[in-house]
Amino acid sequence: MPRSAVDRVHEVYATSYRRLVGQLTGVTGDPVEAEDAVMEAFARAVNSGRTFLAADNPEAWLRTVAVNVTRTRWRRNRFFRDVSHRLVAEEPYADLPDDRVALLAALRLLPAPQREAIALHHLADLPVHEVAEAGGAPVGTVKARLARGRAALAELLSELDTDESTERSPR
Amino acid sequence: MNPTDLPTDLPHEVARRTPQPGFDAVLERADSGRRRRRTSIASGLATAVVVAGVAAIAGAVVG
Repeated sequence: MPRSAVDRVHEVYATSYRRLVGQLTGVTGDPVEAEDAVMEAFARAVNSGRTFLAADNPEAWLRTVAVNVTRTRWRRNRFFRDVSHRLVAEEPYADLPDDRVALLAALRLLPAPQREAIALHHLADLPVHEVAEAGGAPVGTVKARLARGRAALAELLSELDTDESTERSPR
Repeated sequence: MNPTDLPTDLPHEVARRTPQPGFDAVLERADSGRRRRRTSIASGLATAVVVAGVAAIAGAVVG
């Protein structure tokens, strides 16, 4: 592959890696799993050579690949999911504020398509049409997933909140 | 649920804490991805050759 493609990936890696991990964390429900998916996307960018060079928006290209990696793993590999949940409390994310940890816990309980839509639209701030592109779904489908996801998430967050209050209250 | 109720700075909170491995880690991973792909292509070809061979032998025996 031409040297310039590696240079381009290197350049984007320096500026976008952390932001992509932040965005993918909502999609995976786990920052450690997000790190791995984003790293895999960059590795694929290196191997794709000219395809990556031709991308109008390299960060969007990487995000789509990382979302696809996540989706494939989620579908195929229950073991990976279980391992990643054990890792979520590890450094450097152990000091995430409680409400963020609760949000991640609630996101993990959503069906994957809803989680993906909520994470990319409401957390990563992408417009609906970009969420649709990243997820390979029509805009109408993404809007329906957002509506269902918001309802489910509200319920899950209030349940988690109730559980926490019950644990905290004196017996 | 109102989306404004969500702690929307979650991606920033995570990004701020994310360690960034050196670019060498990306190159190593890309390299192992290429090797993995070559291995699976070679093993696919080998399987195809074996299947074709068995089919040819079976055809000869039946014929």
